Amino acid sequence: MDEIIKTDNDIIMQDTDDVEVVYGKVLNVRPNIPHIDYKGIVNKVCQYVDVANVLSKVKKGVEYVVEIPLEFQGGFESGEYWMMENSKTGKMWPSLMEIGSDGRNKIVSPLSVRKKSFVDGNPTKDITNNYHNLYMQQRMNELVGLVESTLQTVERIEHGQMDDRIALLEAGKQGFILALSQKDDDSRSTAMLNAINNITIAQNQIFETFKRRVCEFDALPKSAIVRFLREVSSPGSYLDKKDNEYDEINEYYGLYLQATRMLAGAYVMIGDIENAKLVFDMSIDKTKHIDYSKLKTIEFTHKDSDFDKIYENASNFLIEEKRICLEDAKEYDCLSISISGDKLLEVFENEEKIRK
Amino acid sequence: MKKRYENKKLNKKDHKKMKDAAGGVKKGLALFSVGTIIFAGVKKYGKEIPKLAKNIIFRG
Repeated sequence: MDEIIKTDNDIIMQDTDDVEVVYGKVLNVRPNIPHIDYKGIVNKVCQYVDVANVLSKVKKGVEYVVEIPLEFQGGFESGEYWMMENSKTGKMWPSLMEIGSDGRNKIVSPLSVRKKSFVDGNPTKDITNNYHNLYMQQRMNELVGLVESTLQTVERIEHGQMDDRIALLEAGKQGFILALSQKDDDSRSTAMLNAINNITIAQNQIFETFKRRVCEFDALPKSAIVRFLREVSSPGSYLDKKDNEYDEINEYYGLYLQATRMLAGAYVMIGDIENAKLVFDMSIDKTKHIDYSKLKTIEFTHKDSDFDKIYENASNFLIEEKRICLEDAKEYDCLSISISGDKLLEVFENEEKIRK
Repeated sequence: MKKRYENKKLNKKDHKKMKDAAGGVKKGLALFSVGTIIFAGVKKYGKEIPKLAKNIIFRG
């Protein structure tokens, strides 16, 4: 289910004298993407945007890109039916681009938007909304898979001692899957709110365990001689034991991070972006207030090694997840469709026939 | 863009040298202890050991 191409914060600068188009989040649709109704999308777009007046410029064998910003409402209200503006105003407009030999897009012509389309609503917005929902569901399903594998590891570590927490997160996860499979928005929101309840409690309990284990971690001696003597005097390997202890704390952190992502994702799915943000903010704040000084001593034995330094980055990892989550939650600003000149002419001819 | 959490485990080979050295010392100490016990036994019952051996062999 990873076929949908998403471009984050795409900034497209066009190399022409008087035009410069700046888009935000772009949904790229290409003909070779499987499980996507490419023809249907192209047909919808041709009904919405008036390609007829630029058809004389379309050549067979040339590759084109149709780019449609999704917000036209402002222009419509001011009485304009297509939004040709110069770059200085910062306005966006639908345009037909030609893919040049250097691979860069060059504007062939701006496109007008049909008046009727405004009255009937914005079909391109529906297309991107559908794919945005689909994308979010994909991400959430991936997350459920991740939680599943981490849960198994933590269960193995705890030998059943953390059953209540795991059961709660498991219940939350199941509720989440059920909510995702609901068809209508209302029942999805209700199911999601139930799942949120369980995930919130589990997330807090996991945090408490994580915090306790960080605080209970016995610091490694700074002196290599003392560490060596401990290694000699310890039954089994002292250093391996400390490594395992750290790895277990790391697993707890991973589970906490995933539970937080899941909780925020659940809020995003019901459209409550503010609460999703708050979930991350509270988690960031909590992780900042833990004393990691003892945990940091693991560095004495892993100086130049590459591993997840949770004692340094516990909140940074959450900040990054927050950024990704909120970026994902944003709706698309622009729909970009790659299409060949032949296909464009064919679609338009078909549409002409239907109209007659 | 900042780094994402990857759940990377610690590399136990990072302290292999110290572990191996400690293992060597542990082995050495064990051998030394065994040697000391044998030496002490021989020193104390040295003359009686052939007699004891004979008894064990011929009685058996």
